[in-house]
Amino acid sequence: MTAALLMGAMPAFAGPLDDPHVGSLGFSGPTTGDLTAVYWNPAALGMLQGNQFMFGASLRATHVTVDRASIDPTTGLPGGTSGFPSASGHGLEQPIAWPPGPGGFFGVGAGVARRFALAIATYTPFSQKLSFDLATPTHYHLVSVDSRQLALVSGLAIELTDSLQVGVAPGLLFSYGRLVFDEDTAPGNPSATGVGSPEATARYDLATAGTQAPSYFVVAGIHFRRAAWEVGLAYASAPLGSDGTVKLAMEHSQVMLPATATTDLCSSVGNRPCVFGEMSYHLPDLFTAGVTWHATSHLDAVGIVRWVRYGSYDQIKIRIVGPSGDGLLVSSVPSQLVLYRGFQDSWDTRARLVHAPLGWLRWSGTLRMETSAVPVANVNAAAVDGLKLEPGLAIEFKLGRHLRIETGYALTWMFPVTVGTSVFDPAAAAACVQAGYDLSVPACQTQRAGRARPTAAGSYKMLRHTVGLMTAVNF
Amino acid sequence: MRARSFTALSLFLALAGCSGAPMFEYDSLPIGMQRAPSEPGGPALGAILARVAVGSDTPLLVVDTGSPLSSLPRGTCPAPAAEPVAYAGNIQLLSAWDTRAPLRASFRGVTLFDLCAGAVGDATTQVAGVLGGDILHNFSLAFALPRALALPATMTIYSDLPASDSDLAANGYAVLRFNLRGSTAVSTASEGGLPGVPSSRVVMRACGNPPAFVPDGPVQTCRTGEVEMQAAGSNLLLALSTGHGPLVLRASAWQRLGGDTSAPLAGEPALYSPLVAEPIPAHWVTLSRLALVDGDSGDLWPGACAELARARRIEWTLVNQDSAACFQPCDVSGGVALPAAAYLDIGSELPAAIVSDTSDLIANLNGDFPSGAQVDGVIGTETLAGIPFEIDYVSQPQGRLVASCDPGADRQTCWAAPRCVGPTDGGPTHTCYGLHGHAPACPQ
Repeated sequence: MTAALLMGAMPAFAGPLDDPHVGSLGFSGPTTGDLTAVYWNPAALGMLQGNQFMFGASLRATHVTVDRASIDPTTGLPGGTSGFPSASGHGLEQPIAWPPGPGGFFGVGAGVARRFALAIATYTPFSQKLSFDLATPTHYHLVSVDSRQLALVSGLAIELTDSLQVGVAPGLLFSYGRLVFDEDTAPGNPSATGVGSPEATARYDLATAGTQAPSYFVVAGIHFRRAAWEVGLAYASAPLGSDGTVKLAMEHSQVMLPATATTDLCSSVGNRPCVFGEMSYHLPDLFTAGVTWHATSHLDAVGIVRWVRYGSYDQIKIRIVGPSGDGLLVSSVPSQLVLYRGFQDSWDTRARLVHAPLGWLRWSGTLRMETSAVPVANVNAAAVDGLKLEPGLAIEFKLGRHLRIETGYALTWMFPVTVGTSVFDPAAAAACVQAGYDLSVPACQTQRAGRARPTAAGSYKMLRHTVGLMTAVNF
Repeated sequence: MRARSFTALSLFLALAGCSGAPMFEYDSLPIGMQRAPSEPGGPALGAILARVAVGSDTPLLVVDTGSPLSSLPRGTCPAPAAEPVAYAGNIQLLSAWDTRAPLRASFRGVTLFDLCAGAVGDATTQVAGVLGGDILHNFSLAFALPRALALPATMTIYSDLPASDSDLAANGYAVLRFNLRGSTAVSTASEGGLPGVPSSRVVMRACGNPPAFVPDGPVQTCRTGEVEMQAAGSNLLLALSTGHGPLVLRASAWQRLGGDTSAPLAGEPALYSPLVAEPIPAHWVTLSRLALVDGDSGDLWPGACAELARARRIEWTLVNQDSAACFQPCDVSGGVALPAAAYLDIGSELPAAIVSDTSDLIANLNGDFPSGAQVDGVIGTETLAGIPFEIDYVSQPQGRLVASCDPGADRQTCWAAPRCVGPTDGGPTHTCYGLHGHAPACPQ
């Protein structure tokens, strides 16, 4: 559940690439009665027997390929003769990093007096790391991103009746992020077409100074069981008290000035950090539902649906402040930017079979399908998404009465996305300049929305491998 | 039950849809502005003017941070009115620098007063309305007011200013925190019972006529307890108004500064203010120097001039530490130098209009706070020419004015001094004015 928030933070930097496997690659869900319930459905904590301690890690490797459509070099619009080389983006995420990397899970909890369960857990349910080559044709949308979200959540479950439990898990969300992209500083100049002209291109390298002051959110859920059936429902809020908005202070930022792309704005003050930025965006809330059917004593069938309300996530706003010598307005480069995202709600569904042929062994097979959070026209290197299929296998060993070890693997394959008509309009920037930045002119509305950028027409492919290892100790 | 729930939901949605929250649309790119004359017959370095869409017309509108309310008449002007009428309306702000008058910002559903604004700067510069602090205080506003008449003044609207005070200071900005004044319960023939206007008037502490300072000048001694005694100049409380050109002072403040005649002389032009309908008799003088100083009015605060003098002494010590300079006893606590306040030093020969203490302008400035510290006048835009600044209204817990000087500006014309943080604030040494300090405290 908490992942809803964290996945919401993710799009701020790239695509809706949340970690759908927090806690476990093949056994966790809204009806699972272990510590991962802090994430999936706090009510399921009520099934916790005795004390439990869980820790684990996963490794996630992502590969993105972008083949931009050729453009007309005079207009920047698709269909011309200027082609681009294929661009490859890579990201390897693992938990051993600082600020804490993705894929880690640590939790401890206990059932109390057979009516209550308490737990506390920390994990990084969302993260993304993706870097393109520096000279990539995607550089006006994304050069690289490194985003990590650390959640610290406490959970409480109460057993109302023998079959009904409720739970709540308030949490803190600590964010870290770095985003690098290029910006054309001379709208109307041919470089705006995406051909790439260092004379007019500034590079923005924006990063937080460690983790940020936390956002607050809450997850609440209900768990019901009768005979061979279990049902779990949960809701995770967007950050509270801020209308769902998260603001990140990007205090370790640089802006490489046009022409050289090597002289940064801070060279006049001794090259110490002198550019301060702020990034803001909306986070979605999320609903999760899960059903488990205990078909036999050895076989379970599980269905899970998540509704991620990405629709509120429309754009990222960035403002930078430079050194005093250049003025607050940072006159040589844009000081306020809008990066368009234009997301839509996505549905994540998965079906799973869990088989326990032996008392000390069980395995699961999961097939997950997730709809795209990014409409085709809005896809770009910073927001690559499409319909995804993901088969996964996991196996768990029980070693004695107290120890369980689980490992698993999942392969995420995105159906290739071909963007024919991109929402990004390279001609709008120049047209808006010609109109004197008149907000009543459609081109200026396009620019204001962050869509006056080089076209993102082309084809996009994404493949991801995830490997996980989890250990649970009951005592 | 279901029907009742549906009814309740419908009512909720209807109320939500009619909440009447203002809608703001802007792009955070500089908006080109015109300038009114700073005074009758003076250069066009005065009030900041945009254009506003009124039907097919595009009359001038003054952008005034000193006006606590916004106005735009719905009929022709002048129109007699017993009392102002408030209504929910729109301001479509157009660039006044571009002859095409493009739409540059839109403020919809805002509270406007059906008033005729009159003239600003001189009698010929008639404006149709005022974009006042009640709207502007929702933003962080950056202003660039060049001294050269050929260059446009610009205003840029931001949602906020992300950098912290310490980060801004480290990069050479003077950060001057301010409180807002000017709230009032407006008595109007309001349509729909609109509330009074919020506090939005930026009021700054200042030191008038301080002496010029050069960091390699002679030492200024200051023994313990003499911090206020060693201050030079006169403390002032001034409102920042982009609807005025010159510095405006009330007569009593001018006399505190050592001014001679404060009454208007025969033939002197009047002051045209957006805050007052009628021209204000004024005596025109020049002020040698003005320093805006960060600080508050707490009991322990020594005053703007004392803080300015302390900041200069500390800078002098750091500049001259190789010559065995030491921090003066009045600037030391516990053996280390106190923090020096940020300040913005503006010179020289600043045009100023002296008006009567009983003038409508001064009464307007103090109408919200008749028993408290009295505002002495107004800092106009001509005073701030060549000083890029940003008014960050939305900063919490206090708003802040963030200023720097144009590159290459002469120190005697403009000097933005960031807050100088001493060792007691956590650092091992001073890092102020680009200097690292290890200077000792002077013996008592």
